[in-house]
Amino acid sequence: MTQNDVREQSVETGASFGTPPPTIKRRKGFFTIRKVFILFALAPALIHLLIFWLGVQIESLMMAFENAETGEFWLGNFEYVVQALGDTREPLGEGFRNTLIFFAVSICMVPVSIFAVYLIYKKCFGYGVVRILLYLPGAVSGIMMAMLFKNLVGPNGPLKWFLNDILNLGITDSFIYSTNYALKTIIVYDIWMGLGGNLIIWLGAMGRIPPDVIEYGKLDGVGPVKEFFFIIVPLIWPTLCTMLTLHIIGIFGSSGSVMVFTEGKYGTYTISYWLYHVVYSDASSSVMQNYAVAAGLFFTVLTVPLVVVGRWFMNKFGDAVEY
Amino acid sequence: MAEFDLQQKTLEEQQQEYARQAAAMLHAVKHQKNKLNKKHGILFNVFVAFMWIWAISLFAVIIWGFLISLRDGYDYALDPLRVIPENFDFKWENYWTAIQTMEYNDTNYVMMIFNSLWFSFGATFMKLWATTMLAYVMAQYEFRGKKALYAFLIIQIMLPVYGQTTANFIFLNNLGLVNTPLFLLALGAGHGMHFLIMHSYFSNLSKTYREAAEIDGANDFTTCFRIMLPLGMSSILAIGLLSFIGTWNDYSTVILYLENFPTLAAGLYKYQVEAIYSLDPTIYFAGIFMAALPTAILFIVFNKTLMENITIGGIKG
Repeated sequence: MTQNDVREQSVETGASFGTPPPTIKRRKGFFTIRKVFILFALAPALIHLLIFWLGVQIESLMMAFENAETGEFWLGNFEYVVQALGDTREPLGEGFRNTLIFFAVSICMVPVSIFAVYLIYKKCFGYGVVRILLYLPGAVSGIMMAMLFKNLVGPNGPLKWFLNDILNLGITDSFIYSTNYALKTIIVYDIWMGLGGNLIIWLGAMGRIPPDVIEYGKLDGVGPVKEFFFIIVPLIWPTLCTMLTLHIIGIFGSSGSVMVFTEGKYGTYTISYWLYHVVYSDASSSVMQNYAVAAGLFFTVLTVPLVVVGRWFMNKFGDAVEY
Repeated sequence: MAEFDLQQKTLEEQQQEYARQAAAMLHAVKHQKNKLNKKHGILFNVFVAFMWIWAISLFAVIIWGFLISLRDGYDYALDPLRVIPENFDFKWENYWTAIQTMEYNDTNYVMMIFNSLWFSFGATFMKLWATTMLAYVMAQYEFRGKKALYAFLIIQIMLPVYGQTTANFIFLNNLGLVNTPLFLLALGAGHGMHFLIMHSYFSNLSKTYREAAEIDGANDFTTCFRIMLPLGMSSILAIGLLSFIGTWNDYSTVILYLENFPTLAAGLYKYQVEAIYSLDPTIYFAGIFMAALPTAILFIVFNKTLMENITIGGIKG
């Protein structure tokens, strides 16, 4: 093909040297490849949403407003919920109190966890090993760590031996199977395990910070404490906001490790464990089930203003930083 | 000529001056760092030491449990505080005994491993497929209803509906998905925190890769599977690992929805609840350590992938 042939062909096709490259022509019509692809990609998630999310929400609403005995529309389930909340002898009231305690503990662990990750980010001594050691227990098995801890604080465990035989404290109650200690033990366990929680999220957030910003800070004489509060925290603020929002969203789902330690006995019920327990143990009682669904709906409605206020508060104290 | 020499000399002097300034700056930074370390060293090191103690306490308990799993059951009952078995008589056979004797709901240990495998791989695949495709399309394409869908997904994340367990159980039971492997269908959700992570990744991925492939004649399927997803493989792998580890260790879901198919996590949980008075901790810990081995290996091998590929941005709105 000579240069003239090419030129002729280009004239025929409307293309010429020096003109912009041809744009991609897409087949117009309802089923373009792009539309098919988008549908193909969205389908699994959308089908799941429609069936397993929307379906369950409709089922929830029907159950919450239904009198299980007569099948009629009823608000009585919600009245029971409000009554039970004020009474800590009721599992729901007890669960409400404990859930708030677990939520407070998890919120308190956020800054501790971020600071620990900051030390790792600053490449402290043995940072590579320490990050693995902190995250490993969360990765291996919740049952394994909980059983090891139960053994550690159990009647034949080293902790009891140390407190009673070495320090002569004479503690007779079990740390797990007694109302005095069960909740405290689970809280201690959750704090102990909590340092590595969300470690990878914080590491990911700090890892994205441009090194130049840190270097400029050093040139300006910024020390580690100032660097943490005035450079690191503002730069990871979007991630921090998201994680705090997720914490607030999950406020009534805060459950600690109640199931594996006590199954809600010894004053350790939480809302989410109680809701689980209703299905797990009282599957045949439809009255109880409707009551539980109404309680769930009640707490969902209660979460909305908390999330809105929380977001407002976070937006007020920090701007989204883009880098 | 003389003028040229003068200019040359001035340039060299300037270069030398810049080099001196750069060296001084580097020295200042280094000096500053040392000075800061001296000033804040004690506090900083105390925190580091504290973190090390915390990390070691976690690891020490795992080692302690492992040593219990190697002790003779009778010997352990007599002296539970001993750490190393007498005469270094490690009972490795405890692991074989655990495989032979531990069972729950007529499901033996080997079947529990099998259940763990199909449940974990199946659930991970379902979640990963839905999440990745949803996040990719939402981040890279413009289509009608995209904003509404994104807003809905965010609202759904922001508004957890408590008490779903009961309604969910009844709903799935009515669909005939409880106690069958088809339950995996219910786990293929594309939303939630993993969606946020994947969406964050694909949003930061330049669209020029996709546009370049399109100019070369690739259609959307080819672009997605041969260019864009391989580019995001590290993040997909990290999410997949997180999902696999979570599913492998999940006992509460399996106990409720797959009672006849107990996985290792569910079976070992129920085993300790039901055999509370006849439980031999040495055998039980052997069973537990075997169950934890796959996720521990995965974590140790892929810890860099996990630690360096998970980023989550802010939620707008």
